[in-house]
Amino acid sequence: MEVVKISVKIWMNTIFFNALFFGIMGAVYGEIYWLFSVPFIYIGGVVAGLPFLVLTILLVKAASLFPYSASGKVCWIAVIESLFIALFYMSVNYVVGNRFSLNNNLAQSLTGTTIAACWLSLYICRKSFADHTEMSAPANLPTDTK
Amino acid sequence: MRNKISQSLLVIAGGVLFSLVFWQEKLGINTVLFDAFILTAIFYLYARARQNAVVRWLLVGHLICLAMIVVHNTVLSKIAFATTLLLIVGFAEYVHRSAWFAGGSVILNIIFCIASFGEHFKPARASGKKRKRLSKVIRFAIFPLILLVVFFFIYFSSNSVFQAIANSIDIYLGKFFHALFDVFSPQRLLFLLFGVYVTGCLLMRSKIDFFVNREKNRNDELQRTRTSWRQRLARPSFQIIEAVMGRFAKGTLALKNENTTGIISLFLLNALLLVINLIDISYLWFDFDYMGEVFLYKMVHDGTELLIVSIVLAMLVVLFFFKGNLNFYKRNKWLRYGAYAWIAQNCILVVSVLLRDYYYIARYGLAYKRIGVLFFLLMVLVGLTTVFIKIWKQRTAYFLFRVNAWAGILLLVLASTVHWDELIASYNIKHKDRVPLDAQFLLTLSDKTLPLLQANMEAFKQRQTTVQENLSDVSGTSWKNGVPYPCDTCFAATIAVRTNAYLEKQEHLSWLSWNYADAVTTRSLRKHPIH
Repeated sequence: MEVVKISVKIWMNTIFFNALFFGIMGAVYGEIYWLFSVPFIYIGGVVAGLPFLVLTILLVKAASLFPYSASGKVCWIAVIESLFIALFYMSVNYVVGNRFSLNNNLAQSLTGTTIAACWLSLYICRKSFADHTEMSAPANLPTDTK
Repeated sequence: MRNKISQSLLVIAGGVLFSLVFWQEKLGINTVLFDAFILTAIFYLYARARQNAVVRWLLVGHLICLAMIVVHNTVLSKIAFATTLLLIVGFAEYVHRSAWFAGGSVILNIIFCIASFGEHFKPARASGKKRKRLSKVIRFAIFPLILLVVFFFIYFSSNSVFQAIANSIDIYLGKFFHALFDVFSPQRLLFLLFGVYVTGCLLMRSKIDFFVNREKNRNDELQRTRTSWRQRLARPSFQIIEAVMGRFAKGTLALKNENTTGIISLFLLNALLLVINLIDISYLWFDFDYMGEVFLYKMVHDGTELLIVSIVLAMLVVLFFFKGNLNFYKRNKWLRYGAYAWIAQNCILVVSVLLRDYYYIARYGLAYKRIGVLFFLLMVLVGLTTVFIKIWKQRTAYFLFRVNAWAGILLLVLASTVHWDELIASYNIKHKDRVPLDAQFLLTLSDKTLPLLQANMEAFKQRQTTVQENLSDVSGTSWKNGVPYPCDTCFAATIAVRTNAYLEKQEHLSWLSWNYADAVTTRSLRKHPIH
């Protein structure tokens, strides 16, 4: 249950920051009204990002089994999530433009903002993740170096 | 802790070195620099590895592959180089005897590299007061900042003077970032991160000892173990036997029945293979006219693939019968003889496949797949020998896979010492009077063959005329890797286009990409330019 709670927290924060970054990005490009559409982008993001909740639950569940510290686990989740985010936008680009890549500015910006949102969200949730990890993780094994 | 710090410093230093030596370059002398750094770092961080005999042997093989990258610069030498380096990592950082398990541990390194790296960046334990103050500042700053951004853009849109000031600041910032990105482009930054990741995978041992624990209890020598009926019933192999033998698979005579089934199976299989081998020996081994227009293509091309499958299946059949207690059954004499005969007959089959391949090469020239078959047959011979040893000396499947993996690595290292493209081109051109010149195939070979192709331009021109005479329509220009190619059958023009593209590409490479193969090719092509 704790895993689901943490995952939902990470996921909701990611979508919130993503919507906020979208709005700011729109404003930077000169579309000031994007800022006011942040709540709608947020609602749209919740619907479109549902598969990512499942992914986040799976990743948090898997990471809590690793014999690593919370910071190591958070880094691991951040990178794997980023890969999936890039894959998601590449797939969208394939459906829209028939090219499986991030070859245009919009796709690159969207990927960048979502990854930044995800990392920020993970950073904010690191404490609850660490508390959960300390309770459930197997004992850390010493690294066999030198 | 000190070791941890030096590990992360080495990873970052390795990433920077990777970015410096490989950015927009190909593998060449830069590989020696990066490899020297990686090996030094591995032996510094994992000092025990220096005494490990397996690591030392792997190091010899790895250095041969490294030398081959500088000398031949073939794809195979690069694959062999990467394989041996990863195996050195596996054996240096973990306790392994088998290359398979070491490979598994390296995969864990790759999967958990980020987590291992993240471990080194545990947040410093600031005092409670300090942390609270920092957290307070951040939390108090978020809401005002959001408001600031919103109102900034509202005023920006409504006030033209403010907009002009903001725009001029934006232009200055744009110039600054443009200049900054010229030096540190996002692509370069990503490449640097990739370098850090690659170095991390090589230097940072994962904390998960899954494969080490798996290998710990494995032995080369087969031990007789008593298993209960319940455990035996749960095994998938037993379920297969039970499906075929029914009630004969159970009870006190189960082992005897299994032995009898094995003897009958091997007797029948040996008889069938004997017929096949007799046909091959009488038809293929002596006085075979491979230059005649017999059904050579079908017999050699299709036959080879099926025979290779049959040899692999044969090994699996033997392993199936000798998987458990039949190895220790007192009356397994005939089963063992049957297996030996089966192995010997499969060796004869290997010779038949080898002859087929030889005839095919003699008739149609060298090609990748034909050379690949030769290596595969060599591996099959090693495999059959180890299966024989397994039965004779009562060894485990672990032994079988371990020895065969080492044979494969040895073969890979040896294969990397030959420039196969050059060998194929020179053999096929040398025998062009006897072997039809497959110009289209020769033009797909690596750039090192270009001087050889150029020296035989007349032969290609003749072949082009012959091919085009038989074609009603000659295809137009096509694009490959951004280079316009005249047409599929314009062999002479294609050589010229490839030569120019190669020389142009060389202009953009620095000394870091230097390798002997490219140096010789470039010198030769510049000496005899094509117009």
